[in-house]
Amino acid sequence: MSVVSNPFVDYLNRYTTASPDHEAAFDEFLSQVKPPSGEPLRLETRVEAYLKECFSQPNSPSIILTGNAGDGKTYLCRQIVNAYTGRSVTSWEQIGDGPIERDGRRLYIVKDLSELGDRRGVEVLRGLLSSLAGKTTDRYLIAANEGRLRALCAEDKSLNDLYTRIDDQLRKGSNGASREFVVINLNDVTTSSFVPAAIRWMTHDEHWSACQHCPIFGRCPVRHNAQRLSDTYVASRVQMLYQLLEYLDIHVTVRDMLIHLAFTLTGNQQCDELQNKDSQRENLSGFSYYENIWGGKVDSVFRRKASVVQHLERLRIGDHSLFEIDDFIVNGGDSATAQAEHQRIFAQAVDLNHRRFEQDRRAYVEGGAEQRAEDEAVALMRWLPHCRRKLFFEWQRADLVNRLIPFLYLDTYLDLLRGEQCSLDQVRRDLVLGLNRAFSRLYLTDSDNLYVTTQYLHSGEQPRPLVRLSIPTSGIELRVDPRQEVVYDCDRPDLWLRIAPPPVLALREGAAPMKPIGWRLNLMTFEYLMRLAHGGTYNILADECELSVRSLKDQLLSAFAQEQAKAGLIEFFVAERRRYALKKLQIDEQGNLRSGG
Amino acid sequence: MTTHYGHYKNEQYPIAAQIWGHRLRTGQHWIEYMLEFLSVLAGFKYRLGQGLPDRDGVDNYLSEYVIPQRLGLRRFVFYDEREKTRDSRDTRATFALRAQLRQLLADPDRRSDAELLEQARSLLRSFSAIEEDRSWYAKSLFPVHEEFLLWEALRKGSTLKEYRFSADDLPLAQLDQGLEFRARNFFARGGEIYYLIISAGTENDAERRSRISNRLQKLLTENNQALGHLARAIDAAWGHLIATNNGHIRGTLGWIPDPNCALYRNFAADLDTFLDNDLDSLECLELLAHLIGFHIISYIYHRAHPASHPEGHRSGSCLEACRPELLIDLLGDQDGGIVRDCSARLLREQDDRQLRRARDLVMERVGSWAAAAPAESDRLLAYLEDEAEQDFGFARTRTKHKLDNAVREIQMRYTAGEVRRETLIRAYGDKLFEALSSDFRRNFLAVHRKVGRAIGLIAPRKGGQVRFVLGDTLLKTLVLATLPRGAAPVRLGDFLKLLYERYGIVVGPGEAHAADLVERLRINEEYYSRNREALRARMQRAGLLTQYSDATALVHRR
Repeated sequence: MSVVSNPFVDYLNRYTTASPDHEAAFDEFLSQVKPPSGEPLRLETRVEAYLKECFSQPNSPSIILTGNAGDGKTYLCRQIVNAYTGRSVTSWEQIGDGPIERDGRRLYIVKDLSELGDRRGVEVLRGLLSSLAGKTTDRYLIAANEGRLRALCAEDKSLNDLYTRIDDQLRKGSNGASREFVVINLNDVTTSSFVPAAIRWMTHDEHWSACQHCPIFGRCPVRHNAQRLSDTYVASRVQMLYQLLEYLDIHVTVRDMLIHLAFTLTGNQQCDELQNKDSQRENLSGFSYYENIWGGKVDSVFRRKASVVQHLERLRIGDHSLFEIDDFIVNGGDSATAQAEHQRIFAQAVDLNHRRFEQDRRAYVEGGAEQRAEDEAVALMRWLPHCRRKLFFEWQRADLVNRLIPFLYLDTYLDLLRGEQCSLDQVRRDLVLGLNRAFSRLYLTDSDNLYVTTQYLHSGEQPRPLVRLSIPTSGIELRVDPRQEVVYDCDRPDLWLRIAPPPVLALREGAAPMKPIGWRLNLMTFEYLMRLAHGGTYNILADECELSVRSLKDQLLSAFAQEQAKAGLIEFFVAERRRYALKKLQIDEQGNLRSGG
Repeated sequence: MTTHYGHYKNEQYPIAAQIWGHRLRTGQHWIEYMLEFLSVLAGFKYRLGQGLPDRDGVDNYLSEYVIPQRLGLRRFVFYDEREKTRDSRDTRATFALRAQLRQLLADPDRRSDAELLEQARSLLRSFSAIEEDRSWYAKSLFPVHEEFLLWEALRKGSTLKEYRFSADDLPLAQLDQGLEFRARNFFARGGEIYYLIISAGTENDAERRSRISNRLQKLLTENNQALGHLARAIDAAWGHLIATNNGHIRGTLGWIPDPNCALYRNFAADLDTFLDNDLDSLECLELLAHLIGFHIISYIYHRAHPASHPEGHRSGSCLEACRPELLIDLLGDQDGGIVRDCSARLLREQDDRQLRRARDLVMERVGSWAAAAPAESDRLLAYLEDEAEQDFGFARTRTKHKLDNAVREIQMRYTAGEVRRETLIRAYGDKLFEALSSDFRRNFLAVHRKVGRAIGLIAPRKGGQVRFVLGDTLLKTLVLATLPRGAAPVRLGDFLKLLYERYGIVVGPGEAHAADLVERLRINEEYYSRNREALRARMQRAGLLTQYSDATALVHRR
């Protein structure tokens, strides 16, 4: 039997080797080498459009691009060079070290600041600083990693101003409207925005026509994956996973995304290997896309190297049992429509080892004489995690399958981000209660006020949290910031708590009005506080979230805590029979003690 | 020639004092170093550099520190039915005080009076600083405000039988009698040593001195004023009852050697940098206690180094010559515990160094006496014994007895002509050291371990394989003490270099090379790299470090 090979599969597999040489050449590879079939991938990104627009004008700003390796800095530099010079540049040697001239203006392009040594790097930054001061008309386009950029600026005192301006834009957002100096942090780009386009390209028919004459045409896992992923619902579920990572403030570079999606599709399998395995009747269900997406087999090299997989794997989707889902898998559901849906999803295919799943399922449900009951159970149990993962992508009951994700309050979070107002107020109160419990480490029950407490933790006795600051919940707002960025794709709204200064401060005479404090909540902190508010114990997620909570506390105390306003008043929590009560002691100048208020 | 800073009386100091000043002692709890230091500072009206004997000409100079006794407050908070050393005088005093306090309450509702007092009491008690079970007069409060500073007291004879007479007959003013403040078992002058160190370190830098004292004053007086009022009101109520104004403790400082030592200036700089922070006052005090503990340990190791010499301390070359090697174990059981074992070895070496230093001191002394001794062989030993008696004194008769026996034995061998003069001198030195070392071991040697365990420099608290570690709180303290506020973030490599140069802390391969540990310990350099990586991860989790994607790790203050 002759072996048929789809060259596109080989092409994709070259994405997945994760070696240093490969990473360096990836950029070249991606745009220079055409795939054997169809067109190369062109992702339309907002940042590319913005940069092209900037540099096609006579007075372009100086730009610094920061981001991780694989975010596309070098790629963008090349696009800009093309736009600036008006011709297509294929190798960096053509540009050389010097600036590009146009209309008497020079543009210095540094495609990687780390490639220059310390001394040269500082020189370039000094050049940038003097051009910003107006001493020259040079413009700069610098691609750098944030760490190196900060370290270089910190090293040289003369670059202090530059450091402040860079730090400002990195922390508060790019100043896209500026015609002078823009710092773009590609870490803020939501890679999930590109997932549908990337999947569409990978699953496009033109790449898969070569499979027509393959002997395992209907039994190939890779082709099966391509078909399934071409379904828009499934692709949207993949996108949802990437969005989930973004809600957890995990940034995935474009390169990592492409490598991950390529692996999801092919599992790093070659066509001839697969044909061989099929002829030996091996179980190929392990190469389905919904197994590959978590990194494939437990000991695969890819799992160890790909950062996306390391993050996704912590979610452990499919490892835990949920009754409604397992029931659907085993029994198929109550109604006729449910049964029909079950038959559609669990139709025979290579990802279910053809007929094997149905056989095992029937054996379990109906029983049979050939095997003992325990064996039947075991056989089916082994299918369950696999099937749960399948349902996660293919069953259009997101309300049920989202519960496979271990975040209990994910749906609430998503609702808020979508702008649904009905739960806003209750969630706001829950967050305040959660913060009260996080600050004081006691199960307080008051959510009418936010109490910022402090206590001596090493006390030999029971600690009594002292209230340093209390802010009425009415002054705390929960807001969704849609984050419409002009400069780059950012499709992730942010959730913020805005805490107004306590009324006592606002009413002080003669003082300037104080600004409220904003605190951004990502999914992790949201989950932490909601769990605390609903009775969870203090330690769950404390490691991940304690820092963020503590920094909020420090911010609130340094901005709002006013000793004078509360002179003579001591507030603290004391355990009473069923709850913690707030006690107030007041001591006046004559030394009289009273319970205060 | 070692000069002294502080009240150096020409009396018999134990070996530990002769090397490390008067005095550091094992009995002092780690937090009591800070409590004593702050009390002394407050007692000198928040001025550093006071209390020295030769400054009488200076205006407004304070030669003693003056601290309120605060017995009323102390009894109110700590003396209760579960007290382990009861005395009828204290019971009556507490009763009387509570009755008086009830009158202060403005609330006409009688039922909630007792409750209110109880709440106030439990609130104050929640700041109890020492976890151990001590008598009420030896317990302390965490100094959230100046009024919370309590000095160690002792009721003489309290462990003996109860006070014979009825306390009811005594006038209230006499109930405090029998309580004295000179016991110094717990406030063993470690805080005074720290006061002297910082004063010596700022002798030539008046700005730094005033910055430090101002910040400490603000820390203790401008925060938690309501709590301070409460404490003062309670103590004032007692003062009102006994109608005396003599409730003050007066004290004079100990002393430290080598006043110009560059290490003191470094410590003062650390303290200055550390105090310039935005922390909540409770957290600031907690970290301050860690910093003081760390400085005390550094000081011990510095002077225990074999290269410690008065000339070196004076010229500043001691900073490099006397730098310890503190290999920090961050891997624990991972990787076979190799780094842990090496770190444990280096910790034991610090013990050895202290013992050796003490021994060298004794041998030096004996040698110098012998050089000045009369030539006649039969008078040599007697001369040496006289000198020893003068210099060291022998309070313990048991020690003296053993020494006498040993000396007699040496004498016999010497007169029998079996040994030479040098051997005799050396043998005498040995025996003398042996006699003195038991006191040294009991009262000094464990100081660094005890304090180290409490601040997170040495682990575990109980159990074997004791070695150097860096707890999260100590890490944060060191970051705040070494990186000035407002400075740009520092690369991790530079930060580790700084820790090494300043304190001798070794984590990664760079510092291991600089400290010559790679040759000495002979473990693969890879272990140091992993150690460094573990520290990086820990600092990142603690929020002290940001790791960027290109493996640049920057340490920052906030």
